[in-house]
Amino acid sequence: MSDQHYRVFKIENGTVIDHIVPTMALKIIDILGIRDKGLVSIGINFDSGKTGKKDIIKFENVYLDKTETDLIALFSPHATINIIKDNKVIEKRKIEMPSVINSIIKCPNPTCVTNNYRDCDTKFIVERFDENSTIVRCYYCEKETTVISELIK
Amino acid sequence: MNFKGKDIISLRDFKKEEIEYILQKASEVKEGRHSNSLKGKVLASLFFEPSTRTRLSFEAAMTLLGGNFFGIADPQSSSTQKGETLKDTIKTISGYCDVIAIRHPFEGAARASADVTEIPIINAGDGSNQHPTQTLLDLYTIKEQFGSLDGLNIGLLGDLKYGRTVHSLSMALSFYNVKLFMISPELLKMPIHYAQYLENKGIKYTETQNIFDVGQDLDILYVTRIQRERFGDLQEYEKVAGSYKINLEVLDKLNKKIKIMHPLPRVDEIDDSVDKTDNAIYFEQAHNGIPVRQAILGLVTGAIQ
Repeated sequence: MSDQHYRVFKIENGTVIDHIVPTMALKIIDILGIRDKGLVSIGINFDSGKTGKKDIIKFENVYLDKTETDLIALFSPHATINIIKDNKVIEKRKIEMPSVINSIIKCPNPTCVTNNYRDCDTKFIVERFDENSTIVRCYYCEKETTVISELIK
Repeated sequence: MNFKGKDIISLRDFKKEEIEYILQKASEVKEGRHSNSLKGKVLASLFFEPSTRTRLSFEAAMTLLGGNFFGIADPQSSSTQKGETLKDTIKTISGYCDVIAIRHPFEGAARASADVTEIPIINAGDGSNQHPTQTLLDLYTIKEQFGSLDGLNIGLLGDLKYGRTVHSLSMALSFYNVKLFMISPELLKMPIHYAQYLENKGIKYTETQNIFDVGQDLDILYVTRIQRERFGDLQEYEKVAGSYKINLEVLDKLNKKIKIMHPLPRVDEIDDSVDKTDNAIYFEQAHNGIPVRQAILGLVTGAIQ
């Protein structure tokens, strides 16, 4: 077995998220949650030919759907998704910015209703985004904000 | 056009045709049509923040078209004081009425209310965000005075940062061929996301701190109060309060035909002496709250088609 296999185990079935912006893997795990059906391997600051450094996450026996993997766009728009079945890549998926983001961002406006009632969850509309920033509008208080990691719940 | 069951939350949700339809129905109501159309309908008027004219105007609108109302005028007396969430309050009250008008200090409260009920929700002001029925009566008043909204030069004066009426109004005016003039102290400029919204809609606007820079060009001057309660720091309030006071001397230097509007209540930003001039239309504007809210209540309950 090569060194590579010891670093992050190869999986027979499941989802591989590769080329994650370095150190964002834990944030992504925060959003996607650790699934209880299988092993989750996380690699941080691996060497990458493309970008110098990268993170990688492998979910064994868990098939993440597109709605879930698109949430990664907020932190790592160029990450790649591979769905593995019986040791073969059956789907290579690109991440697309979702038009609506539920729950995972908190509104920076202290007088937004979502910050003042326990049963009002957040919802943001993606207004525009580019390489450097993502601008979202709170569905409730209508204020626009740039997504920064401090706003992730 | 079918408005039955529709929520009136934000100008952002409206198409121009819908605005025009409401204004047309308001005219019909003002002409005396649709009398008693709200008979058998009940309004819950939930004011979690102090209000006189908006609350009374909703309640009068309902009564004058034959409907009934009940409500909360003092949040201290409601069960929210016992820790009930807004959504639970709305879910409960939905069983007692046909339509809910809500004013709330938190931005987004009306939208959150609409999430949990099929009954139409009318936003009567949510924090510093939106006040759509005020905007519709503003548009109605302008149309009544000038015949059309297109081609007008409109000045928005005062607190453009926290004033929800100017936020809603500027969004609505973006449907029309108007030029906007934002007149405010630096501290109270229109928030960037509203300015961005207008730019995206292709609306031309000019920002200035001095009313006399633009006063001769204006058809309408929409004056707003600088609200003490929006300031955390009272020293900041003192710095800007009263910096835009319209009196006869100021009026004399503006376009002779200018119409002065104000969402009321005023403190000292328009001198009483202006009331008697032909320029002042702010009391007519306040009175137009009745037909416009009657039209809205009728449309969303399905009583007016």
